[in-house]
Amino acid sequence: MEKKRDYAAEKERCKTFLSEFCQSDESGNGKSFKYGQILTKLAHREQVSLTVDLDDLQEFDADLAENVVQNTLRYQRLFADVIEELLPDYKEREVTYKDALDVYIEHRMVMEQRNHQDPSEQRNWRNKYPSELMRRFEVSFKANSAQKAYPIREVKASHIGKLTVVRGIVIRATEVKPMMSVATYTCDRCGGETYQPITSPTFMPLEMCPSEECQTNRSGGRLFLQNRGSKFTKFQEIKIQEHSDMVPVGNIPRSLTIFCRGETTRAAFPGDHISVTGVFLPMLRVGFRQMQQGLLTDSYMEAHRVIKMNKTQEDEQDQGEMTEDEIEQITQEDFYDKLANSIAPEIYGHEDIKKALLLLLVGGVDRNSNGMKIRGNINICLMGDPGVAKSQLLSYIDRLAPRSQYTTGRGSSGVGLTAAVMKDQVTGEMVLEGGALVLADQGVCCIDEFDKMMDSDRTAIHEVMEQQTISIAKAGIMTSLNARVSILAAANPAYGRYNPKKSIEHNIQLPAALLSRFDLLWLIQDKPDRENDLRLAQHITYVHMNSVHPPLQFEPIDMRLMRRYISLCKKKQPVVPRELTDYITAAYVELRKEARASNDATFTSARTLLSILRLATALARLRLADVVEKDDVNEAMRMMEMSKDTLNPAAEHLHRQQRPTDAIFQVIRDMVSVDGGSVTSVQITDARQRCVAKGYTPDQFDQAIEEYESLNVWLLNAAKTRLTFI
Amino acid sequence: MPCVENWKSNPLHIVNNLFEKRSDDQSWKKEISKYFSNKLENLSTLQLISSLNDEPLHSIHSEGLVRFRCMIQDTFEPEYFLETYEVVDKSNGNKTMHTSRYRDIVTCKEGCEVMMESERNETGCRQVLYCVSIPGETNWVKEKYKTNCKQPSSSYNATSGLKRSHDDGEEETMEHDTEPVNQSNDCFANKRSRLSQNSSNVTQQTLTKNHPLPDEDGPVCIVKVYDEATDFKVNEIYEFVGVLSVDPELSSAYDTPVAENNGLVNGHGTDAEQIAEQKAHSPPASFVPRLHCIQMFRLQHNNPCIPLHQSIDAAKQELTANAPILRQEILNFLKQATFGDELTAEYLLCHLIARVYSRTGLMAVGKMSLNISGIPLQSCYAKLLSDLLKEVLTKAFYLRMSLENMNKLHFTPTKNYSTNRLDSGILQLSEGTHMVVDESALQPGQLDQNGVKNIQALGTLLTQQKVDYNFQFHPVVFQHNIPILVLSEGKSMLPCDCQVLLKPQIPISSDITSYFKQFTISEDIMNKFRLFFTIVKFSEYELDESMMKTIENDFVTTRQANSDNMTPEDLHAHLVLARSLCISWGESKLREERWKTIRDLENERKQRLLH
Repeated sequence: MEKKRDYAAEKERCKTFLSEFCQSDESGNGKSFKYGQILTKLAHREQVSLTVDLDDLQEFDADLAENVVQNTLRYQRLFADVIEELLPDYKEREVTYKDALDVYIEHRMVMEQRNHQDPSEQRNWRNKYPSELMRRFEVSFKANSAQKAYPIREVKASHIGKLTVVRGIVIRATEVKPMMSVATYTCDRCGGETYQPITSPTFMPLEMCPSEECQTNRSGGRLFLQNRGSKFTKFQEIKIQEHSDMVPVGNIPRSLTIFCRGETTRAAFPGDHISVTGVFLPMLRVGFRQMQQGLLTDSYMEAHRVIKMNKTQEDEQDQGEMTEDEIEQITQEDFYDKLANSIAPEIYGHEDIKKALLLLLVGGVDRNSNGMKIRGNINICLMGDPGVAKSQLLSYIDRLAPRSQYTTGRGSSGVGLTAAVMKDQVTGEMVLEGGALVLADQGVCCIDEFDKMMDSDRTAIHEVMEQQTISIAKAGIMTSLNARVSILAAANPAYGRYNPKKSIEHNIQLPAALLSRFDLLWLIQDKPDRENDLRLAQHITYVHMNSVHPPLQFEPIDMRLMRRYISLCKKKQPVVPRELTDYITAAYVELRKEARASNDATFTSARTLLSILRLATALARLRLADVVEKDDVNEAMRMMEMSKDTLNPAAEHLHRQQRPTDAIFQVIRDMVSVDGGSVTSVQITDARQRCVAKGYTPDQFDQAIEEYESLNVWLLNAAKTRLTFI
Repeated sequence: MPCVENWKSNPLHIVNNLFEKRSDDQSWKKEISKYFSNKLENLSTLQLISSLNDEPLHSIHSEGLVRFRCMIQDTFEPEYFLETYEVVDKSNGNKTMHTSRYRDIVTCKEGCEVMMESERNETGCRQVLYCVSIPGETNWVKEKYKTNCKQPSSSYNATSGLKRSHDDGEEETMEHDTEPVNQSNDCFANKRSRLSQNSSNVTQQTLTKNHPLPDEDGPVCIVKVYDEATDFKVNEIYEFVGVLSVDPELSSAYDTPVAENNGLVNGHGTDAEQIAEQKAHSPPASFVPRLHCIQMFRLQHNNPCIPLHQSIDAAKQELTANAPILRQEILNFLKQATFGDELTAEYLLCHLIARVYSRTGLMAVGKMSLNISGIPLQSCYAKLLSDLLKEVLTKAFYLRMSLENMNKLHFTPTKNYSTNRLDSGILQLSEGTHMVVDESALQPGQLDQNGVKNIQALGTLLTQQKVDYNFQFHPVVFQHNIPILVLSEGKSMLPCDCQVLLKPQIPISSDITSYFKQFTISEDIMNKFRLFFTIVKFSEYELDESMMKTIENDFVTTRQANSDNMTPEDLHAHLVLARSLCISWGESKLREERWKTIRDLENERKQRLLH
């Protein structure tokens, strides 16, 4: 500091701020004195802590705010002194005493006043007592919202004494202990009280009475520590460690000790992600050890504010709402493809699977218009030969989803997937400990090696996947826990490779009841294909030559932006309009019929209908629309169809031989015959929708119409709206 | 004035001098490092400095300059200390500034007192690294470094002899005596001798040096670096030069728990965990000395044949000129070990010079773990082969994959939160440490939980060249670069990149131990081999466009015939093999003939596996 600051003037500024800072009321009329109100509460002992929001201070007096950040401890004291002075003015009524210390304080004040009634003595009676002893409030600062949180390793010597924000995961928290902040002694000779404010972690108790009486009489009065008269604060020491994604590759995560006092204690438990605003301080070791250690100082952070958070909050905190621009940036023409492709951009192809995963992240609507709760979460199972990037997709989703759990079927923890009843070591009480599914509530649970899951967990998963709860009846505890999760599972085929000649249940040894609960089942197969192979070879040689992945064809959307867009989508609750219901029903009936006719390896049940609805609502959400449109339903059905196609390799083989145009003709002819045979014409729009729903592109459809028209099979009317068979 | 002896044996004197002469607040730090880097520029002077690796701790002069060749095993929290502090002489009130850079213990003269609250004090920060001697460093490397070091242990005698005579046998008295005489701190003298006795008693039972490998017992050291900018990563290897500090007072934190402080402890500090942490972080100095680093050299390799200051490039040029001849010699040498089987020897050679040269996404490009199956049933073959390889490699480790080992050993390093340090595991190896896994030692039996985890960890290392260090709350991924050779009777249970079936061409004698003893190669040629294996790895290599096209087409046509003939993984393996093969011939570009050789090699390998 270049020049000595005039702290008296600074104090005055603090005072002005506290008493004059006001915000115009939300309703617009009148002003509310934010700190004035808090001061009133403090005076009446309705509140213990006063947090000075630096945002407010910035607005009021930017210079002062800067000073606070630079020399926090000093200003904390200044503010405390100011409040002390202000409090009596805010006191509107007498306060009833709550505990022994209050009584003590009262007694002391009265005593003091009585002892010093001598008018010649000008000094304020409060001065004799250390101010800490009389205070029943705490002052803390809340950092500027613009201030970035530092990774722990960035906190260096230059931060000492400044208000800093750090983030980390709590790895250790001591019990909350009382810490003496003012020790009170009484003398066995003169009976006088002596006070000793304590700031360091260790202190030397006073022994000899320093009072005038004992000093002059040389009576050698001994002091005795008075527990009841001393002031204690709650104290907790926690240790946080850097978050794994802040650690540079190849480095050991750093940790930081945090001292919490008073109201900041018990704010976090081991395993929590927290953000701490505090002052980074050195703590000199005391006594003779100081010399040995080369004047080493331990460092710690004095907490002012401890906030628990999860992954979403973390991101939203520093970014806020999405701006119009950003939304526009995303909602371009081909945003659906673009979003889908931005999922695991380093994995080539699999567009439909990525689309499905995108829908899983967005999720369907979870209650219908009557308010009945249904499952909105979409469950997806990826099956496939080993080494087809299933796990990569899973871990990408795990990273992308704001709330997620990644586990394997044989999760190593004893709690497993569902929940376990544990005995608390300290109290001996039975407690419930949630497993992965419970922890991922309202998020995604990625389960790798789904097929290798323990039977007990598998039964529990049935319930989770439909009812979205977990019921526990263990050790006398009967309860049901919420588990509103989307399940993304990956499974390997039972025989190492997928055997197209067998049914799915045989291929992945999972019961049909479980499989039918998945909205979409994808089979990823490793098939030779000239074009694919070439692209693959190019990719691999490129990697070996240039040591990087080849540049992508498009710019993938940033993960954070995506996360925020998805959370925006989730706020929408699109409804299915009445006129669409008939269409969906018809489509479902059609599906059922088809399933019966063909020797299908998959299931078509009432669940399929719900799946279509879920997917359609998810698609509508993705468009940020409030109403589901026909296109959404069509796309949903196309997804179902595509996922089925991967499962029926034989069918796919058949499709291959059959040209798309022929297949489209087939579809349209079926439509005609369904209607009873008497009518020989169909609406073009209907036909188009039906075909698109079956996975054909509009181009193919147009081509088919044209081709068969030239063959004189059907006629298209002039307006191109109606197709008539000849 | 500082003479040669002086800056080596009493560097702190120079530090003090430079500090006294300082003109402003910052430049003196630079002056100090400049002074020493000038001194150390010359290789021969560098070698004059005694090395912790070569000499026992008790024969090295405390507060003198030492070297240490080591791997960073763990990084502790940075230490904050008073870099400069003001001392007041109570008798006359004179105030002087001092520095505590490069030292642990601050001493001040009788009647003086450090002013803790002085405004002129400056807080500094130093990085603290826990270093272990390089795990898996082979014997010849150690020996050679030792002989390179020109001045054996006499250095200590020469310097301390000037001061006073001493008894070399008693470590404790030695540490007393070497204390600079002018700094009298008699008040601690009694206490200190007690402490050092204590510490030597406790040491052996409760402390481990935290070596990654179970049977190693090399020196370890806590290195303190005064350079905030350098980003130290674990598992990197360095040669540090700095001031050694073995003052027994350092261990007092180990012996005196916090509670022994005068006064009452308020609120915190008495936790058992904290004591454990303190103990782990300040082990007795006689066991784990401290080194205050003045100069450091990041090592790419630990081959003593290449001087420390010389870059690899210089040595490389010489080597590439006659690479083909040398390669043939090496191949012959390896062929003996594979009983005349050229294919296996060829693969072994490629394996030994492969390394992960880039990473993209989850993939480690360039790894080539090799599984040699069908090894002779005499179980000592794997050990013998590994010993043979240890003769030419600078870092190697032989892992007997017996059930007992798998169940008992710790593979992945684990963060111990109560001591706040990383407990090492055998997979914590520096880059390029060759690992030979002897699967033939495995017998049918029960793997326990630890065993399963170990095998999983080994598997991840093989497939992705990374290890998930166990940080309890979450794993932290560390990238590794450890070539692994698995020797097994049948196909290995571990996922290797490439499996070769050993086909002995000559009858295997019943006594393979003596068979292996036969290969004697002159030291001179051996040194060439060693150079080859160290240097060739780092050769440049490129694929050009036209070659790429050829390879791509080759891939597509092969897959057209039968997709099982060549999977994408095979293509990766081919390309890695191509790189190794080319650089082993001293070529930097893949040519078509070589690609053909590779296809032939691969085909022959696959053919063998079929039968």
